[in-house]
Amino acid sequence: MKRNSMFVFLALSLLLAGCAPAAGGARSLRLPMGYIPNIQYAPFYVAVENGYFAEEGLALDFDYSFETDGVALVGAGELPFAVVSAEQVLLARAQGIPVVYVAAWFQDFPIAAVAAAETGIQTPADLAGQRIGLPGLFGASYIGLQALLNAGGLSEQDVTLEAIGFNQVEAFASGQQPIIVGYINNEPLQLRALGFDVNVLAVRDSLHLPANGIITNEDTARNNPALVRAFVSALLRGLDDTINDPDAAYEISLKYVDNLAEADAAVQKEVLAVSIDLWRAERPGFSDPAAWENLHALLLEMGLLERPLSLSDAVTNEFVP
Amino acid sequence: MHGVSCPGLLRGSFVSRMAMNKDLMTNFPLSARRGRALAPGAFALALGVFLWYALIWLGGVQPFILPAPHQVWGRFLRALADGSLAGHSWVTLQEVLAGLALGAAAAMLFGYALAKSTVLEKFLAPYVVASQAVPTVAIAPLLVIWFGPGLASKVLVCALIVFFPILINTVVGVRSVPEDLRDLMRSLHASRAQTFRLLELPAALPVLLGGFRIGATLAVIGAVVGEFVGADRGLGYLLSVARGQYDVALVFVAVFTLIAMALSLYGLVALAERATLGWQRQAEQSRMTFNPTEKN
Amino acid sequence: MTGKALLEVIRLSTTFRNGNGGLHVLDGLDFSVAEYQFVALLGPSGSGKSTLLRTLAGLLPPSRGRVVFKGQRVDGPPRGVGYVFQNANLMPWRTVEENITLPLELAGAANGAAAAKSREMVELVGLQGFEEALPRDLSGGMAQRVAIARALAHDPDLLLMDEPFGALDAITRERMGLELLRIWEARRKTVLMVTHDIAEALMLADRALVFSERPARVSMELTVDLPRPRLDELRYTPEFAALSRRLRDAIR
Repeated sequence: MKRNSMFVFLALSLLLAGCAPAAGGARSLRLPMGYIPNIQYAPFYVAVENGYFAEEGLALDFDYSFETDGVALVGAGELPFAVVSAEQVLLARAQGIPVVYVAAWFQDFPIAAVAAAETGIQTPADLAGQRIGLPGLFGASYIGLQALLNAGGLSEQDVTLEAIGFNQVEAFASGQQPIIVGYINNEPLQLRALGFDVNVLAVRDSLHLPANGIITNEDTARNNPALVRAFVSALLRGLDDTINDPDAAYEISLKYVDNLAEADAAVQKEVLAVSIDLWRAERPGFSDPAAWENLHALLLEMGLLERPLSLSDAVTNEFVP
Repeated sequence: MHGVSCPGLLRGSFVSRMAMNKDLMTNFPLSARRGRALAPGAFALALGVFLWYALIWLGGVQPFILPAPHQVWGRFLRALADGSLAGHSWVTLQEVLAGLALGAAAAMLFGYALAKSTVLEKFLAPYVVASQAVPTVAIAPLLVIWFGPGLASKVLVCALIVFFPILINTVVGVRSVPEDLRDLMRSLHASRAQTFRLLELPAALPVLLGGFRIGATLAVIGAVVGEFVGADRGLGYLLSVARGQYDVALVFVAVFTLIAMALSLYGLVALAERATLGWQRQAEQSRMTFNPTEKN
Repeated sequence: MTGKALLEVIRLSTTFRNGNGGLHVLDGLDFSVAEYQFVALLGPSGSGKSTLLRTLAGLLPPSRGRVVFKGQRVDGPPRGVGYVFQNANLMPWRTVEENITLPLELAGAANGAAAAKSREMVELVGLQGFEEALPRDLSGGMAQRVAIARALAHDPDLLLMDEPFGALDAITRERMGLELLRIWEARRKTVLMVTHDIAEALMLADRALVFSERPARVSMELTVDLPRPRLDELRYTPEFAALSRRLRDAIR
């Protein structure tokens, strides 16, 4: 499936190039989500269900394609918004893709190393000499792991990395990978539900990094700030509702996530609870400049950025109420 | 083919695969029309590059959506210079060759047994058909879980993907051995090994090599699928990394390298056909059918 | 009958299993062939002549009765039998020489011996200069010569020929008949040849066996006492015409 996405995305961009926003009524917006339908997207579902986007004249159409495709479509001006992880913004800008991060949804980097309790691994420094399974040497999990290694005073040479694809739970459960890298609100919960005792080494406990949020392109930010403000405002209302009433948000999500009703409700609610923990903020939507500095430095150190970028061009809080 | 329904079915899907590859095949004529065929090839290439530029200029496509040919070329030269392209290509090539060898060996072994035993064929046919129906993309992650993220899982994906076409062509090839020649071998007291080496192998070779042509290109796809799932080396990995870093020019470099690899393997099989199938007048014959009845 | 019997067919019956009670092809055949005799087998199409030949070659077990070759009951392909098929049945990937030496290669003969034999056979069937040719480059007549050379390569005592010239045009067919006659006179093999062609049978054979409609029995046996060497002019003699008429009547 993955190999097709490039072509799908090219085809899509050609298709969309011919589509203009509908005149009158609600403006229809395709929103690339970067992942499959999931309880984690509850704030978006709640905002739509409670009519917050409609009040702003927007009708969302969720697009569960790949994160990188969303970035390219927004950068090319085909779509105004996408939901992406913070490091994507810097990586894309390094390639001349003019995207801007306008609202933080997650307040902290949701990546963690997950170790079987019997390994005795409790802190990042304990990872020395260990074999660690992660989806690949790219993406959020790779960057998060690097942050953990730095925190433990280690480098990539001190551990053995194994690219196992998005099979962390299976690889762990089958005993092949006693240490994996995943999302705090996903893999550890699944593993505990399967009866495993795991230690979670969260990146957020070591380093403050920006995470998933909303991006737009420079053109929209400059020429249509009202649209950006409207979008961010509607989302933050949904986020607020979700944090205040997770059970209602869960019920609403059932309509948007196929098969969610069949899944273990307790685990799904736990996913939501842990996620909410990552969303809570004094000022929702606000990006901490210090966190961005941390990310910028980390990407430079890892060689994922060849030269420094202007962070003030990459991220702004001007649309956050 | 005997009157069992399954092989017909197998053959059907095989034929459709062949049809998909038909264009590619006609680009490799076995007869000596090479030199003349080069000119239209160069023209087609030039036209492709021209259309590529036209798309970018007329469509105003940004480089991070579709880089221009010269940008891809420049990226290619850089990837070549720093050795990364060669390194990743070598890894993928190893996976492809090992997978092809493993898949082909298993397919020929099974195919031969299936061709020789109707009972075995009836027994195994559902599994054989099922093996074709399984989407490789779906089981590649399982293989990575079972056999680890190293070379083995990619080799197995390649082997799985080439298994079916070579199996079917082995069955068809061995079944196409004329009964009269079998009788001749029997009347001359040929041993099983002699019958295999002197009759079945050469008679089945045209069809078998047809399977290899398809298998060679499929194996490249298999390696990439395997590398997509989880790898830290190889062209599929390079593709993932390039995508993750919005380095679309590098994505194209990797894609073109994969195409070149598939075409080279395909060409090698075609060369092997030229070397071993000189007794057949036309390439056309070698593709689908084996017609043993000489003109009398 | 001259000499001792090389081949004996004793109460031979063959029935093929099919949907409705079986197809009775051969019905209690009884005959024998003496050493060095040339026997032609004639009969309506579908009367089981090919089935008989395959049974004699040990490729097909009979339903009842038996075949005795050189005093031994045939049970699987016996040694010392050369078989010439309806079409040349050559291996298209082997050259003329390689096709001829196939029986020797299978028997594990040394390369030198095989090469010498091949040269001899090529000469015998008049294919000098075509040793390296592939079957696709041969005419039908040439291909059949290769087939005959192959059948003779391992010096069999008995040559079984299943309408060897059936697929050739009339002129080539006559020429090949004479060619075969020459070869047979040079080699003195025992030959059992299936044919549809009465003139061919009379030109070549010492004896002709006529089969009835299926299930086949020997409906007539004719001794062809025409003088040898037989030359083309023989066709126009009254003796030839008389025998020809007898055979034709018997087949009808």
